[in-house]
Amino acid sequence: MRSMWLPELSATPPAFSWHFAWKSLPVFIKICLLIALAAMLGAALAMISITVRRNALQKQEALMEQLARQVNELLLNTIVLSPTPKGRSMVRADFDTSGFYKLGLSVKKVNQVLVEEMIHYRNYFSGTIAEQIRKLYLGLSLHKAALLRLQKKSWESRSNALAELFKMDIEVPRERLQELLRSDNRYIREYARLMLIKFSKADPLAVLFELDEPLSQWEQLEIFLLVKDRADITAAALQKLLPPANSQAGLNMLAVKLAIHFHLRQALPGLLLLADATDPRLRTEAILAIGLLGNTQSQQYLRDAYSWQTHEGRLAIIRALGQIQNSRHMRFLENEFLYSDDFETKKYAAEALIRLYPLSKATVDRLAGNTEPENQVILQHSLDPLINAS
Amino acid sequence: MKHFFDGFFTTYQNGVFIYCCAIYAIYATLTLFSYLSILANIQKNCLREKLVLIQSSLSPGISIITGAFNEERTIIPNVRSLLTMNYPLFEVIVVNDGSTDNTLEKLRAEFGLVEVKFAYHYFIQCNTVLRVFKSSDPAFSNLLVIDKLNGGNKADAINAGINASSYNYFLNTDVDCILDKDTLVHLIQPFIDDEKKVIATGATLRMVNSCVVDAGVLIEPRIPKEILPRFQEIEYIRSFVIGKMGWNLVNCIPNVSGGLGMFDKDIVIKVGGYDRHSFGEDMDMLMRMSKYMCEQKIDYAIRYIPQSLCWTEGPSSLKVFRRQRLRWGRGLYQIFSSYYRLLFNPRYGSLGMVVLPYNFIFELCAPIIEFLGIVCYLYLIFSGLINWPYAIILLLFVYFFSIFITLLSIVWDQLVIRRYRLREVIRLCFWAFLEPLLYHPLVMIFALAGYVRQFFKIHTHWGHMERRGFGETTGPEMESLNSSAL
Repeated sequence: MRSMWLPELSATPPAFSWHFAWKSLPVFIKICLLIALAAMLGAALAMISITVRRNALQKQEALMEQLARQVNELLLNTIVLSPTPKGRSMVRADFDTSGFYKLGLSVKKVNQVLVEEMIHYRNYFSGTIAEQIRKLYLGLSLHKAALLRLQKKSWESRSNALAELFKMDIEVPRERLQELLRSDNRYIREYARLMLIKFSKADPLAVLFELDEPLSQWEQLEIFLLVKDRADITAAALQKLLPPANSQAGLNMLAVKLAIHFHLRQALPGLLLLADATDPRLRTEAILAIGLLGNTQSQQYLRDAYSWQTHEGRLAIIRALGQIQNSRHMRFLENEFLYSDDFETKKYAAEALIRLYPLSKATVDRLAGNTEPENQVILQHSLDPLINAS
Repeated sequence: MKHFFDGFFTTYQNGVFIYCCAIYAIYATLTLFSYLSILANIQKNCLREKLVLIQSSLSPGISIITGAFNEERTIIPNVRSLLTMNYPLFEVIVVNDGSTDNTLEKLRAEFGLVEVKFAYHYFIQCNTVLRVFKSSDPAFSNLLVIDKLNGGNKADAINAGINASSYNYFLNTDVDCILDKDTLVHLIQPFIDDEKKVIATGATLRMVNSCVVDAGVLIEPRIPKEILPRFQEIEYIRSFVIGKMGWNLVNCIPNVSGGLGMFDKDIVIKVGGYDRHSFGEDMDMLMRMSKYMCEQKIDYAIRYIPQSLCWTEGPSSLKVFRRQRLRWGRGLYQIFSSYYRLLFNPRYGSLGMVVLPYNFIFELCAPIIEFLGIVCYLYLIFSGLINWPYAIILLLFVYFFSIFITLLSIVWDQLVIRRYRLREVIRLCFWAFLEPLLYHPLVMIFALAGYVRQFFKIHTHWGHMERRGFGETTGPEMESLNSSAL
């Protein structure tokens, strides 16, 4: 069984010579030889690349570190430690920028280190200092380079530029953002949305009303951080993010979190519809929100819905009922604690009862003395401050 | 008879040649994929501000679960290190898996643990839980210690921890591992930032053997001085940087390491937790989770990140190394005896058509084919039938290609981490030339031995990894480190 293509180690050995003719070799041996030579060369290049690149990078990193130290010192002296002169507004714009120009702002890397340090400062300082760093950024015209990068074709450049402008609180023209909302790249669309939310004078959530793609959990976190301190989040806006106006799970989840944060009771009709959501985590959050925000009617709705809810939904209802400071559902919680076959139901019921303290103190004392060993352990677990401290 | 052998060897040679070319073509593709994957990760990290996760009150809670069996030498600094993670909402669950040394006593004394009446429920199977402890010190309020009967393996301990965990995500790690402070931030990110439903995430592991560690914190990473851990370092870099990151690009990761992996707890509970009888419980878990997601028709992803977040102690003696690899070999064999129905089954998508076939053909069968190849070579040598020039060319092809891939993995790794000194990296590169000759045969032999043991159901214990403890920095050493840093 001989093959035209494959080498045979067991074939009759030809007379070996280091100069054997290349042509006489089978095709695959030729390929193997070539690959072996290429791999040898590649291995040598890889080692050279490690040495050369690492050396170069080490030098570059040392330079960058030194530069970062200089920038840091300049920022500290110019902004953080510099006193605000009397009679001027709190946010100054008349900085001595000569030190920054001496760094050589025309060099890309210098520019990059400076912007990175500024963003770093803005992450850790708020108020006047953050605003002054922004003013300095504008004063040094660093935003112009970012705006130019926004015109580039590569999505990396555009998204980095958007991220930089976003972090430095620099507004991009609305028309440009609208264009970027139609970008093929997810990160660009996200940053464009965040920009629109951040710089909207009124109704910051408007950009989300027409959203036709899932809202990632990360974006939810970013939006929440952006709007949690704003005073213009209205129930009407949240209604547009909740069913029946909107059935997208990501937006619904964001609306639930915002409704809880702003304590918007007017969002209840939408939340009630979410109590039947197919996503178990969304359903749980919605039910808990109803418990926190709800009135007697919605609490009764939850109690009635208990019989046809899923397991997760039932647990959420028990937790929600524990958040309501009235004794209306105490008997129900007690029954679930005593007679449910499910461990989690018992545990949540016990926790709910204890959360209803002092209203439930007599009931809990009675249960602690009269229940089975398993129930007693559950009660003790729920009562133990060490367990519930974390 | 001679004709039969000649025919057999010729066919075998041709088959092995095709196999070899296929595996190298896959490695080359993975190397390219890995590069793209690493670049994408670097770009993503430029855009995502980790502070968002740290500042947000909506960041999901995470339970860190770690099993401890006779870990008195390292338990305190490691638990302290876990308790100082940079994340807003997490708990640390240490499962004392029936230690016979002072592990529990040390924990109790160090963290002021008191026994609590914990309503413990066995959602997933594990050996009996005896006691649960919480710290009376408010500084350690997020520490929970479970004392249970020894379950004989890590899976049992992790299952016990999952049963007591409070959050939706859990990090499975070994107590001998030193984790980066930002591990939770890095590993949770794909769960909340991916377009698909992420069920598990992992990151690169390294050897901690010669690193400078102080109070459970990695001060200076160093390449292992001992030979075996050094080879393992090379193997880990190749496996994580090329293998895992390459497969990450096409969402075909077969395994999240048992040393460091974050999981969606709901799904882990739905598939019954870790298999206590499996020798490869980490891969088994991922197989079951993936199978479940396919059966539920949910589009899912398993993600890896290139950052080195975990530093683990590798076996430095041949005895312990052998035991570890026997277990891994048995585990792999077990996986295919359990999931053979999924092989080439289009119903399971990439799991059935890529992940399992690749692992079957190029992971499970590789040691067998290699071993038969050596037998074949020996037969040809002793029967005088070998064509030496061709044989040497083929050996050079195999040798240099594998070296090339290994060196590329070190180059790729340098894109992400440059914490080793340059001379150490160069030294590692030179050791890569010895790896196929000295280390790889051991891996092959132990894997085969593992298969044989599993095939004949030879009973073996999991065995305990004998810890040396970390080289805690001494005063003068710290001083010298500080001065070198300056």
